[in-house]
Amino acid sequence: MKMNQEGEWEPKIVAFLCNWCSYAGADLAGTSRIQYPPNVRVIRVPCSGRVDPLLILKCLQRGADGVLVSGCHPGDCHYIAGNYLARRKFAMLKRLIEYLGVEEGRVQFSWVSAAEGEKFADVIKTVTRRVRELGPARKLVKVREMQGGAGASL
Amino acid sequence: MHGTAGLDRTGGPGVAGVSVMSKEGLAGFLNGLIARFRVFAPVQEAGTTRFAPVSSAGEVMMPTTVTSRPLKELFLPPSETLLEFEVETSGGMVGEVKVEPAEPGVGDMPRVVFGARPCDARSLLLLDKVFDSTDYKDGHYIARRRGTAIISVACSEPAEICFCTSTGGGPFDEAGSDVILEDVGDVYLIKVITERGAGLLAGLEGVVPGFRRLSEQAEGDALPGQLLPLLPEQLLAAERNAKERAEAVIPALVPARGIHEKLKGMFEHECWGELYRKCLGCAACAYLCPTCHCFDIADEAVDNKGRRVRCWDACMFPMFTLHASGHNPRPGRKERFRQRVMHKFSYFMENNGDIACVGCGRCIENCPVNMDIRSVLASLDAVSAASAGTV
Amino acid sequence: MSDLLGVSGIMSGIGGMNNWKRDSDVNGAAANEAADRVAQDIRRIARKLLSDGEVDVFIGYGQGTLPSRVTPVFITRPEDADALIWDARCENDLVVYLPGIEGKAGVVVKGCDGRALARLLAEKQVERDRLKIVAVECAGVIDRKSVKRDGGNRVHLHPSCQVCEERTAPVYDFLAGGATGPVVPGGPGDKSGSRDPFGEIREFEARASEERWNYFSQEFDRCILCYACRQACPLCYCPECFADRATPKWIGKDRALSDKMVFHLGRAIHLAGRCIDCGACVRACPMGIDLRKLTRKMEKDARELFGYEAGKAAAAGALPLFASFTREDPDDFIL
Repeated sequence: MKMNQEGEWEPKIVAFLCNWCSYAGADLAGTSRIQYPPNVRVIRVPCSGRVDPLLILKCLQRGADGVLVSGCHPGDCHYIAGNYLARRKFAMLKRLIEYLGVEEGRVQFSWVSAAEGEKFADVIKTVTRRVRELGPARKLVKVREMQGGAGASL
Repeated sequence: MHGTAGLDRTGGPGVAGVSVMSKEGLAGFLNGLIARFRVFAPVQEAGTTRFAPVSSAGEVMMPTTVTSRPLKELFLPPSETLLEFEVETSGGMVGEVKVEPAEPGVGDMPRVVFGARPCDARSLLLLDKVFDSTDYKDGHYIARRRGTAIISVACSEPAEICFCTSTGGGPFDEAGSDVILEDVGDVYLIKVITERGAGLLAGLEGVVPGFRRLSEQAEGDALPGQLLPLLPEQLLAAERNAKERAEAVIPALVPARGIHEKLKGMFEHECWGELYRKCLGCAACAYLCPTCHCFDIADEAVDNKGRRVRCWDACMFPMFTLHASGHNPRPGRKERFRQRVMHKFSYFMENNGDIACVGCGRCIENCPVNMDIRSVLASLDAVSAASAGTV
Repeated sequence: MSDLLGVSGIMSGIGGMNNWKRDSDVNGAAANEAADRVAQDIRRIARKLLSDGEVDVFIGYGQGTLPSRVTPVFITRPEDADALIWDARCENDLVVYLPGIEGKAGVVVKGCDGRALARLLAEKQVERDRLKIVAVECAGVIDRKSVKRDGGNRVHLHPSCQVCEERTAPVYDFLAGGATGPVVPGGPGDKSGSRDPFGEIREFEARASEERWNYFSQEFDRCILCYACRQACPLCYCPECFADRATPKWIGKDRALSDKMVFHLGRAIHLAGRCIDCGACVRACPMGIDLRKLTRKMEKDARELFGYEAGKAAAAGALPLFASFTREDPDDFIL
């Protein structure tokens, strides 16, 4: 579990960002000096359609408190339809893991374009606030089982 | 034959080491054990049964058949940590590796297993040949084995899947048990098989109501619930009857023990191509088998800390023999199915002098496609000897 | 409808073969005759296909070694076709044997098996022109595990059969025995809308999140990772399952609950829009894990969100759920 300087828990969130839109949106947020919580670890992927549901499950297993997948807006996919295909998978996965009993909000999805630096920051704020409300992840987390409560850093 | 040898004693030495207990006495007997030892017994778990620690007689499910999960898992758990390790890192450089061997569950010992079936008890003797042999001594296995006493319950009503009489055992087989409890009608006979078994019961006689040594069972002195007062000799006769009745329920002998010589020449026989076909390639048979003992060793690590685990594996999976090169010496289900049969009924005999099967029937019960090892053996037995060995 | 006709006579059937194989135990005396007619027709068709060289192997059901069981048989000679049987114990989904089979094959399919086959055809795992599909109008199969659990005193249809909406395969070459009679209300093929096929899932969804988590934790904790569910599944045909992969290693070897759950979640998501609810996985599971709680949920969501029904006659050849999309797919869950 990650603690801040005051000894308080800080959520750790993995963000899969598509190379063409959301990653560029994050870049824009940075170059525009827009403030957002430092809790996300960004993984750049070619397309939101590349994000296998297993990757999301693996993040939870390895101790991520939240997972965000962000891609191009519908119609804007660099590969024409990757985000449409992703949308179906994510709709099913989100319902499935919440049905299992994982808290709603642990896994979230967004569309952020390369021009939406402001929106990227807002999405990160929203996701971080929600995950903070939920507290540290414990369901599906394997590292805690392995290491006696101390989640390994990702 | 090991199984029948044990019971010959009933004709001769008679009552020594035998006690009698009323059926009502069972709960007191169990609670007496639980008060003294860590007791594992069959418990119900959502429609399945397994051996688990119990804290009162009420939790124990007096078995009518074998438990869904085999006794072996108390000795060879599905997964166990062999050692823990930590790699020291400083400034991005890999330093010392600290290794801490895991304690083989010694803290959990001693344990008493109640309610094993004779087939399961016998399976431990076969596992001993692998994990406690002159060639190899497995510390984890041996610690659990030495720390565990077995109280079996003889099978008065064998099930339709049972074929223990074909594998060297029997419904009243004593091999592998320290104590065996037999239902002989309206009372139980409790027979001490080993010294350890005697120690188990030492504190219970006179404490548990309705439980006494057979030698103290006097004429006309009936136990609660016992319809007719019976003399010790008559009880032993009732035991013989119960045993004969139970053995009669188990159908004809399956050619399990005698087939190893023939199998030696059958590796390339064309019959395997027919026999395996319906096999789905799952490991329900191997994992629920009380004698299948193959395992995999893997490291589970996160960052610089991890542990080495030993976990069940099965020859029915392609991964079992897959080489790093991509080559697989057992490429298909036929080869893998053949391996399982050959290992149990030929190689194990060659290596250890017995077959790796106790006739518990779990593989028959649980095979999704009704692959019945009894008919597989019968088919192998029926294949003409002339064609055996043809390539 | 879950305890279709509590027939006490089945107890005697456990001792003798006969009662077990009678459809009358679940569907009344007329069903016996229908089943016999189907069996005779299966034998006739198999014999003809084999003697005409139309198939190299015919996959059907034969008598098993226990009163409650039948077993898959692979018939290669016309004279062996007499071993083929048909009755309410014919639970196996034989379509599982088709991917990768050599030569030409005939196969007996119930409605669910036929839906699985339709998916395999659509996913190009089997070639239609190498198959002879012998459909039967299914009246449901006996759930032998629940019969055993009840001490043999009651006969139950398998849970999948109780919510089955199409009892006949969407594609076939022969319909063995022809039409067997009207649909039994609440039995396979009942589309009358008199029941909610996803009622059980809806009820479960309505429970508290923690309760669902505890339920699944208990269920999957029993898993011994024997992979019988996967191996019995006609749609699990991957040459290498994600669970067996070493790089990346999705599933740890040490059998942590988390690993077991990720296996079952991964399998469920891979079956989304593909599972046709034949029930082979639950019948195969030696630990009695409630696997349909996940697969039925996927079926329900695929239907609710995308109007997608795997293998149904109306859309038997459709692209897989995850290989297709519409612009109007739900978007409201995305920030």
